[in-house]
Order: sequence, then structure tokens, then C-alpha cells
Amino acid sequence: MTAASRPAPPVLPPHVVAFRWARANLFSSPGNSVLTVVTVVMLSFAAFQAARFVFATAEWEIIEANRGLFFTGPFPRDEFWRIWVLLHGTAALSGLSWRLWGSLDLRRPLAFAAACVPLYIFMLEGDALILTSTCIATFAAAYFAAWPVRFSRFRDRARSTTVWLWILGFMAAMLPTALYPSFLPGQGGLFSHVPDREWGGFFLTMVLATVGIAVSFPLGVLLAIGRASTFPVIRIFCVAYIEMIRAVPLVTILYMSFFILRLAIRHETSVLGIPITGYEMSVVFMAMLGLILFSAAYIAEIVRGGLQAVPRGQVEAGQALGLGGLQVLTLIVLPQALRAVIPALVSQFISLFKDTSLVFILALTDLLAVARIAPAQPGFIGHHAEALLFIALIYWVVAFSMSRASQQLERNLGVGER
Amino acid sequence: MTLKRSVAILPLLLVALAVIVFAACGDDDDGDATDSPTPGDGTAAPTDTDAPSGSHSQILQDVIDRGSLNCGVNNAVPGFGNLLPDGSFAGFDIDYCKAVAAAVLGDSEAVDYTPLSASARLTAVQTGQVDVLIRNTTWTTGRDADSGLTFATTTFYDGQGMMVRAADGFTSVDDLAAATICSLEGTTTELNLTDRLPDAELVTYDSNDTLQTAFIEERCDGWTSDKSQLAGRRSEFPADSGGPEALVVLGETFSKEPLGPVTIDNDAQWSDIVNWVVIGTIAAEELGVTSSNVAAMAADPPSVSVARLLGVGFGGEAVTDTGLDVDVTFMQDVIAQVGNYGEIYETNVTPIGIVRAGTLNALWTDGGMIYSPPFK
Amino acid sequence: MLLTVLSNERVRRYLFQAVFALVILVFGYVLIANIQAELEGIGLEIFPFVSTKGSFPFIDVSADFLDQRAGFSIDQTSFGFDYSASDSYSRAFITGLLNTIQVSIIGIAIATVLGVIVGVSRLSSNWLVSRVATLYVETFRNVPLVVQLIFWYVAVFLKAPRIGDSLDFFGIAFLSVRGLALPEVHGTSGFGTWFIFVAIAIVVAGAVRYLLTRRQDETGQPSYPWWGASGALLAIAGASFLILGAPLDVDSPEVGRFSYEGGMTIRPEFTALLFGLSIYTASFIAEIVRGSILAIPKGQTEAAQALGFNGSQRLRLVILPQAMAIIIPPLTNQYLNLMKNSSLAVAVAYKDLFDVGAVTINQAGQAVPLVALLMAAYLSLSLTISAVMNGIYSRLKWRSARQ
Repeated sequence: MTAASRPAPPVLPPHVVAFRWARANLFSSPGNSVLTVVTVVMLSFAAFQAARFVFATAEWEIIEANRGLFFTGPFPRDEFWRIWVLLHGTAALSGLSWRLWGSLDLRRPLAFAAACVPLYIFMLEGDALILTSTCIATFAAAYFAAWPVRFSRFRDRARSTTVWLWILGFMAAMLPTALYPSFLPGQGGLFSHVPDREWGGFFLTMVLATVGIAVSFPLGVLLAIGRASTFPVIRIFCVAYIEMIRAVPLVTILYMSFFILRLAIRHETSVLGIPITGYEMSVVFMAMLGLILFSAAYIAEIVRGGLQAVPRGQVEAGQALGLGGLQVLTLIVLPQALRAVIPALVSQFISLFKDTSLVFILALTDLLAVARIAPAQPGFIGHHAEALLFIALIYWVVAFSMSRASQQLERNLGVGER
Repeated sequence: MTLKRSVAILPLLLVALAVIVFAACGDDDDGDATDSPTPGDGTAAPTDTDAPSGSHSQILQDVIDRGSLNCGVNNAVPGFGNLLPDGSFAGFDIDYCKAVAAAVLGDSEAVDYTPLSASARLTAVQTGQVDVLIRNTTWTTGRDADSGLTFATTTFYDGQGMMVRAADGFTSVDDLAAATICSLEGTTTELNLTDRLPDAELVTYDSNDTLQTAFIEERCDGWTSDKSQLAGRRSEFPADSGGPEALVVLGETFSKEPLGPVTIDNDAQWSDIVNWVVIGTIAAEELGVTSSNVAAMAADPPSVSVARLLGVGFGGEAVTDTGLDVDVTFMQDVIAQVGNYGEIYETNVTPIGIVRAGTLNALWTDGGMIYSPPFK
Repeated sequence: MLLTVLSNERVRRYLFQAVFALVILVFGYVLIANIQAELEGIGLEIFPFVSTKGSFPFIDVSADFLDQRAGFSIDQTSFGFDYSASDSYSRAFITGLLNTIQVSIIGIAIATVLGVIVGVSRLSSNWLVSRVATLYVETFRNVPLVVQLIFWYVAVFLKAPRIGDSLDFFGIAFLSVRGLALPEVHGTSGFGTWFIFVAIAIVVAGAVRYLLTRRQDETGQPSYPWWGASGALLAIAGASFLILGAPLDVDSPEVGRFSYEGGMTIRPEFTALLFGLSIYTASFIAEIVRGSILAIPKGQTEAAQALGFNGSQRLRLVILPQAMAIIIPPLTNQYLNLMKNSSLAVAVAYKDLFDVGAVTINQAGQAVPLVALLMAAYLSLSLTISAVMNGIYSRLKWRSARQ
């Protein structure tokens, strides 16, 4: 109002602008001034302590020497090419996706990338440096390859192709080549020759998280539909499952999976001549199963909220068009329901990602476990503050990127704009 | 309406229950029939028709079919079981995994290591998740008799000790009667301490790493654990906290902790193989067979004992069959690829600062407890 | 004939559900029978509280392994519950349960206060404060709680001074790596009598509040019912306290060689868990608070402004009461999460329910029944929290409906 009523705002010297801004935003009242001063003092203290630790006290060799462990755990070194193939594929698809969906404002991502350069130089050497560089090059190449598509008429087709590529790529990497009996993780797909007990570090964390998300999401949607069903038996079952799982901590589910379900699965039983159990499951598989069973209940609860938000008129309109129950559900209700709950879903996915850290209680060598093992090596004994801070940073970057991606997705889908 | 509906469901549920009972009764018999000999696994069942039942090892067959040994290990105990920066495992216990693999498969590298938590390790053997558990596990009656497990010959005689800071000036465990003691949770160590010092305050941790930091920060006055582990930790104690000299391991040993490989109870053949691999490494040291001279000794055995150990003939005598279901020359592979007891000790335990001479882990000829029954 | 029956919509519905129920029941039965068979293979029982020898579901009651001596020590107990290493597994289990309850209750209180402060700060007009609040939320929400717990314990709480150099708070309280020592209050002989007076005081305070509220409703004049009630309570309880000659005995801590003698000691393991849980949960509560404040129409703030309310009055009297109704359901979820997350105590050496359960599994080798028992215990804790929060919610709704 004030700015608009003035004919021409005088150009003020920068220190005056800064002064006025500070008075308006930091010192608008005595209470606010005190608050500002206290915050500044606390912040500087924290920043000083952090800087002193990072640059003076800490000894970062533990990270440098163990970077292989942190990223892949005991994964055999001569099978590393499999991970590099996976990384290049992911980089290419990420580049495509970024250009097709991502924000057009590149200042922050570029600033972040610039901040990562020292870490990159510090951490890597030899093959790892070369291959990481080709990964980044692949990302950039895919990004620029998709450059003209964003604002052309091919955009929607390119987007759906990219989604399919993600799904197919994921299946090629993780799913089995033949269904029986090699459906155990580590016995199919790109990683068929590396048993899953040799998976570890960040790689294991990401496998647990991505497979967990990919499987628990459809399972959760089914449970939510079951809960909203008009069949009482199915509804009761779904409600009981969802509420039971949501009432107990994940660690107990992991214990249940490891100590109880594994026994149930390994004993041979056939019903009416069909063998339904009798499989020896690995610890990684049981941990994955525990995470999936746990996460599905939470996703079901979120999707239920979305289903309730779809107006009844939508269903009636679908029926009036002559669509069957299943068609109404998959074509009309679910898309709207899921779109409405994207933020909640993504925060559940982030939770699942963070929760993978709890597999340490089953002695899996995930990222957190490596941060607890590395400080037990001769020469690095006791240096676990460094290890913990390093993995905290990795967890933070992934979780934060996921939440940013979800905001971008919301913007693309126009949630909340209608 | 709702009442009518539920009334209609009831008979259906009853039918369902009846079907289940029938189906399950039928399958229970099947399950018992196939499962009673060994709860190990049923996958290799058709191949063992030639062997007399009872004497043939199911686990051995599985290991051979698989081409690798599943070994349950620790991954964070320096000197015994440790995951190294390059993703490999190393340590005293790890070498015994390699020895068993060398004996059974002829290749000490054919081992798949499964790191196990303290609470999961026994279950892992009971349920066949690992073929053998070599993870600093104490031999106790309960575990041997009650839990369906078998212990092989002890590889390392350990005992519980107490480590304190030198500056505190404690000289005996009794000085710590009212003190705060740190220990790992869920171990026999913890139980022993509550017996030995009932008035001490005990803080128990789930990892040695957190425990060590707590000890450095003087959260506790004493750190109790197996002496081997204490020595390992002491030798690597960070210099900025005073280095090894800042710590003292008190002389008293207040429990017996014989550590050795563990196998499942119902496969005696397999337990024998693991046991005799351990004994073989000890016998090799007694007889002076090392990884460097084993080939020469096998070609020209100096004595009949060496010949029997290595499974070769001596002075026209025929090769003695051990009856162990593995190649008679299995100890040649073990010694050539891994070494004898002394060598295994030397490469893994000596570097963490545990002197062997004068301890229970010296050879019996040197006054220790390491003793091999004869190969005959 | 069959086809006509099948074409009937209702018959199809029943049939479908019957098949579903059948599949679930068969599956459940197979699971349980398999577990039992596997356990028998290694000489264990599926549910050792009752003997399951013989064919499955026929059970008969026999000896209980939970009565065996636990043997391990638990250095933390709550609510004055006594435990020593010679007690039974069941007593150890209850000790763990009480420890979980204690850390959850205190954690919920702290997380709520901190969460509201941070949530309101994110909307502050002070640029710096709102940025710091945002930083707080984004940092703590995106790092796994276990990592944070280990970090707090190892890098912060273990860095407290050695016991010999304890921080001395006027000789009343001490802080060191061995814990925070506080004076403990015991009742003496007159305590029972005084307790009766306190009960009377509470009744009187309730009556005062009721009368003042009615007067306020009738006259429209502010009568400050809460102030009146607290005054009455303090007056009666305080006067009787003095008359009875202060029937309380304060036990002050003293610095010993190994630990504090006398008083009560709050151990760093507990503090670290409490701190980590509260900070983590507060970052989620802050987002809930912020969201619900934003959901309140701006007109409400403007109307309050027009009535001459200042900033804190607006927040306290107009915004937060309305926000409460939106806050409670998601807040309940966060409280449940905090309680469930307290099971990560294993990482910081606090002996909670899960930790005691895990140690018992290791000692007694009875994994199946213990995991079931653990899940049942957490289930009942969750149900309790849900019930309490639902009670508060319906009361709030009832109150807002009345006004």
C-alpha cells in the first residue's frame, strides 16, 4: 500500500535498506529484539562448536578409508560394475525426469552441487572418481537431451515413457529373472550373482527403501480399499490388520518377522497338495518383509483419508456413465484420492527410508550399521561421531530431496489449486 | 438387515473351518514324515539314497551342493571378527570359518559370512540359517544341552576381566564394589558381574563402540568383558585419550569363557568335521606342521603322526581313513590355506596385544590348555 | 440352478467373503502350525505359558518360564518399582514396561510444549526466529531418530563433566556424566494427615471453580475461576502443611566417589532418550501446529485485533483454542509415535520394554512367546493413549458445541 501510493520510490543506499529491513523483521518490538539477540547468541555458539568439531577435532580418515563400506558394505569388489550400471541408469532417468518435471529454477540445485564439489574431490579417487564423473555426465546428457521436450507437444508422451522406464529399470535391477525358486532378493535381476548377505551400506539402505516403497504402496492401497469395502469380512480383516500394525513399534515387527514369520515360512506345508511354505528366507528378505508389512498399514491409513475426500457425487457420476464398480474405483476414485494425499504419502515414504536404519537390530550391514562397525576397526577406534555425522548427512540429503520432489510433484499436478 | 446377514455368514464360516481342519490334518502328517530326520532342509533329499541313513551329514551335503559354507560371525570385534574397509572379514574366528571351508570344499575362500547379533546367533544355528557359528560364543551347559546345540573343541580360553583407568588407582575388582561398571547387554558377562559385584551399578550397552565412548567419558569406572576383547580394545585405545598405558586390565579373572565353534545337535557327522578341523590345527602346531612346510611334509612325512594328520601313507603303511566323510587329506588344505593353531593365533590375536605365552591358550607342552587328541 | 443362485448379487457377496475368510483362516492356521512344528524341531514350545504338547489347539496349563530368575540387572526403574537381578523375568518385563511408560509420558509433555513453541515460531514476524524454527524442523525431521539418539548420547550427554568436577547448583543439585542429582522428597510421619488435607483442598478448589465459572457465565464479568481454584488449593494445602510442621523430609544428594549419595539421580541414558525423542517428535508437532494455525481464517485474528487483544492474547485466547480441534487427531498419532519410538532406547542403554524383551530373548531363548508378549504390551499402551486422547477430543468437541 505504502509503496504503491508513492509516485517513485527513492533509491536508498544499501545500508539504509538493510537497516529498515532489520528494524521491520528483527527489531520490530522490544520483545522481538530480545528474541533476536538471544537467537543470534545461541546460533553463533552452535555454529562455533560445529565448526570447531568439523575442522579441528574431527579426523575424517575413517570416512575416507571406509567409503566402500559406507556405500556398499561387504559387497564383493569385483562385482562393483553391477552397482555402477545401476547408478548410470538411475542418473540417466533422473536427468530425464528433472527436465520433464523439475523446477525450471536451477539456482538452488546448482548451488548445492557446487557445495558438494569439495566433498566429491575429497572422497573419491581412481576408478570411483572416473565412474562418478561419467554418472554426472550421463545425468547432464539426459537432461539436455530432454531439453526441447519440456515445452513441446511430446511432453506428455515423454513423461509417461519415462515413468515406464523407471518401472522397467527397477524391475530389471531388483526382480528375479525366473520366478521360482529364485524369488529371493539377491537371486534375480541385475544382482543375481551377489547373495544379499553381501549387500550393505547405503546400497542396502536404498534397496530396502525402494523395494519397501514399491511393494508396500500397492499393498497399502489394497488395504485401504478393503477397509472402505462393503464386505464386512474383508473390512474387519483390514481394520484389524491396520490397527494392530500401527499400534506396535517397527522393531517388534522386525523381530516378529525374523523370529516368528521366518520359522513359519521355512517349514514345509502343502494345502490340498499345493506347497505354500517351505522356503529358506534370508535375513535381508525378512527385514524387507517386516518393513513392507509395517509401512503398508500406514499407507492404507493415508489412502483411506484420500478416499474419504472424494465426493460421493464422483462415484455416482461414474455409475451414471455406465462404469462398473472396479472401473469407477480405478479410473475415478483412486486417481483423485491418491492425488489428494501426495504430501502425506511422500512423508510416509521418507519415514520408511529413515526406518530402514532400524534393521541394525537384525545385524544387517546397512548404512547405520557401517557407522557402528567402522569405529571398531584398528586405527579408527572411537571415531564414531565422524561416522554418525557423515551418515546423518546422507540420510538428510536423501530425505530432504524426497520432500522437495514431492512439493514439485504437487505443483506439477496442481494439487490445491482447485 | 445386518442381523440377517451375519446369521447367513455363520454357516459359511463353519464350512470354512471344517475345510481347514481337514486340509491341515492331512498336511500335518506329511510335514512330520518328511521333517523328522533333520529339520535342516529338504532340498537335497533325493541324492542321499546310497548313504546309510543316520551316518550321513545333511549339512555337509548342503554345503557341497551350495559350494560355500555359511558361517555366522561377529563383525565388530578386533582380532576375532571384524569387517575391514575393503568389505572383507578378518580375525581369529574368521580363520576358523576358512579352515572349515578348506577342509570341506578345499577352498578357504568359499565362505559366506553372516554377521549375527548376540540375540540372533543361537537361533541362526538352530534354524539352519548358518552351518556353523564361530562368533566368540561361550560354551555353557544351557546352550549345549537345552538349546539343541553342540560345541566343538574350544579354540580360545577366555575369561571375564575388568579394565579400569590407570589414573583411578584400582588394584582389585573388590575396589569397584560400589562403582559403576559398563558391560555389553545380554551376555554371560553381564550375568557374571551381577554375581560377582551385586552392589555395583551396571550400565549395559548394545555395542562395544558406544560402550567405549562411555568409558572414555568416565560414565563408568570399570569395563567388564572377555579379557581378549578388553585387550583388543586397550591396544587400540586412542592416543588422544591416553593410549594403551592409560588403561589397566585387572589380574582377576572372574569367570571361565571357553569360546568355540557351534553346530546344531542333530547332525553328529557335521559336528565331528568341525571339531576335527579345530583339533587338526592344534595337532599341526604340536607336530610342527606349518603352512610353509606342509607340502614338503605331505610328500615326505617325518613321523607316523604327521602322516595320519595329513592323510598320507607312512613307511609302506596304508592311508588311515578318518571316517569323517571328507577327503582324508583335508588337513593339508586347512594348513596350507589357513595355517596351524599357532599361525592363526599369531596373525590375528598377537597384533591386538594378547601375549600367548603363559596363558591357557599356550600349547599343553608349554603349560597351556591347547591339547589335541591323537589322529588315529 | 447353480448359475441362478450365483447370479444373485447377495449370494455372490456371501460366497466371496466366505472364500476370503477361508483363505485367511487357512493361511493363519498354516502359519501357526508351521511355527509350532519348527519349534518342536528344536525342542521349544510356541507358547510356554501353557503347554502345547499334543495336537494344536488343545492346550493345558503348566509351568511358566516367566517365573524363572532373570539374572540380569536393570539400572533404571520407574515409579518406585523395585527390581534386582534375582527377580523373575516377569518382574523384569514389568520394570521395562514402567520405564517405557515413564519416558513416554514425560517425552509427550516436553515434545508438546517444544512443538507448539517451534510451530508458532515458524509463523513469527521475526525473520530470524522463523528461519531458525524452519531449520530446526527440516533438520530433525529428515534424519533417522536412531542416528540422532546415538549422537545426543555420545556427543552431548556423555560430554558432561566427570563426577569429581560435578557442576554444583548451590549445593542442592549436581550435574555430571553420572547423571543429574536432585534432592528427593520423602513424607514423614505427618504426611498421611497432610494428604487428607490436600484431598480436602482439591474438593474445595473444584467447588470454587464451579461457582466462579457459573458467576462468570451469569454476569459476563471475568471471575478468573482457575485463579480462584488454585488460590483455594494453595491456601488450604499450604496452611495445613505449615501447621503440621512441614511433614516432608528433603534428602539432598552429595557427591561420592562413584555416584551421588542420597537424593535421586536422573541418568544420562534416560535424559538422552528423552531429549532425542522430544526434539524429534516436536519437529513433527511443530508442523501440525503451524498447519492448523494457518487453517484458521485470517478474519479471526483481525477480529481479535479489533477487540484490542495483543499478540500473546490473540494466540492464547483466540487462535490456539480453535486450532486445538484440528490439532488433536494428528497430535494423537505423534504421541503414539513417540511411545513406539521409545523402543529405540536400546541404542542409548536405557532399559525400556523392548530392550528388556530383547535381553530376555537372548537369555531364555524363547523368542516366539516374548515377541508376542512385547507386541501385546505395546498394543495395550497404544490403545490407552488413543483412548485418553479420544476422551480429550470428545470433551473439546462437546465444549465447543456448548459455546
